[in-house]
Amino acid sequence: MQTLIQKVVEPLVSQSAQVCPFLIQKITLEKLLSQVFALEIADGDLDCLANRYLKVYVKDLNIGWRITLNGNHVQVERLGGDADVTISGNAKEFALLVSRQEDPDTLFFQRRLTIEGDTELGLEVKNILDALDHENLSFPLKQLLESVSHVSRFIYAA
Amino acid sequence: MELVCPAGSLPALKVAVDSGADAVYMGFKDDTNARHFAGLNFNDRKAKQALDYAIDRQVKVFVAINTYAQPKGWKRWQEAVDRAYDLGVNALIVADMGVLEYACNKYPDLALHLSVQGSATNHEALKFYHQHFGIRRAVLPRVLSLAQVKLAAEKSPVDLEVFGFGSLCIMAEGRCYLSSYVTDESPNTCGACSPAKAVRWEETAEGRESRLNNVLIDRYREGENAGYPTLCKGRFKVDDHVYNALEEPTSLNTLRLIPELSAAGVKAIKLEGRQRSPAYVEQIVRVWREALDAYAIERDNFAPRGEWLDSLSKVSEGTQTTLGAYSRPWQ
Ligand code: SF4
Repeated sequence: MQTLIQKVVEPLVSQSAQVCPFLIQKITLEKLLSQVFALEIADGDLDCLANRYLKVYVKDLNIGWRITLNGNHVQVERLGGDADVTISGNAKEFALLVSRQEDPDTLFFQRRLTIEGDTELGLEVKNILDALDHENLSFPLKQLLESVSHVSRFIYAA
Repeated sequence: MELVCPAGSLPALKVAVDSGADAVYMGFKDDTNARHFAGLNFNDRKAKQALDYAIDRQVKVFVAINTYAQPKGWKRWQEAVDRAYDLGVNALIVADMGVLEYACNKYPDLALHLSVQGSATNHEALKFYHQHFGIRRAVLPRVLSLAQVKLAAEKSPVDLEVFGFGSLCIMAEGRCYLSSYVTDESPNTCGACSPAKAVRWEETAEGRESRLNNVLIDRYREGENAGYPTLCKGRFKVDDHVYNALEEPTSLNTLRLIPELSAAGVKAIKLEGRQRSPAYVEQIVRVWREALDAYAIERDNFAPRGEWLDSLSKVSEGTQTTLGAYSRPWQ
């Protein structure tokens, strides 16, 4: 059952992500990230990303983005191009991370996540993500996280 | 025994409290604590929120000010003590004698715990810290065998806390300069072993290469579990043989020893990992809470359950655990 879902759901997500025009991905992600990190941006915690690029690469779906901070908002760029630090893993790993079901160090020890480039920047971003208080998120965002959590539990429960 | 749990961020602190911690420990955002990493730890606003959350739920809060004050930054260490006192924390975890003296003179009512970095390994050392700085508790170094812990506990003038779980740091605590040797920074002086700015990972055809200040310290082949990029856990060539000459990437796990530690009179168990995420904190605190509760009922019949050991191994460095020095009969 699970493998069946994996066989059906993943290619579907992958294809729709690849078909979905970059501009739509960009607008959606920028809006989402700027909202999620509003407090952190105001506090200057995300300054580490000013003029610097974090690349997130989802290997099995072959999608990814380069993320930077431009003034007061998060900017998302196409994968091609330089990045200061690159974090890569499969969709499963990212889903588990975002929904706080797994710890990044655990995934890193198990070789399911890789960090290349400026380790300090990668670590800082990880720590900022960890420090994000989900209770402060708006209701729709909380719901979104809940569904990622449910869906990943369902698909990937092992 | 009291369960003392790590918190590197507010969400980690909240899950520790919700998962059954009796006490949580945290640090400020500077080099006054031994987990000084970018983005980690508490500013004043977050520290206040943390305290409110924990105290409301009858969980104690300790603040680690456990690095060695450097001549240039002495004010920072003083301010950290002042800030912790003003916040109303339950205790400070301190290693440096200068900081201990400052705290005990200025705030005689503030509880002081000797940090593991203070490296007091016998009752005479404990007596010294107790007499001079009035410490109420000491965290014992992870270099002691169980027999040595028992011996120290027999005559200790203060309560004792020992490490129950977490990444293993093998060296005489507070005295390891391996990190300094390669990067010029060490946990005692700068608050970080192998500071992230000196770490580089590269995925190559031969595996993941881990470098510290350009020195190759390990290469993990396909399928091999990895550890933290600390010099002590690297693989080195000794007499033409390449291996983990000092220590393997591994985590300490003493679930099995709960009855013996309790019988020895140990008052608290510390879980390591302020650098880890809320997901880790939740998993380890839940297991240890269940284990301590089970021990309270089962006493002599207590045995760790398979599922506890599995979840702890899963989040461990190198994905394996050890009893560490506790089980070294030759000591
Ligand atoms: S090099 Fe190893 S033993 Fe030394 S402080 Fe770092 S982790 Fe501990």
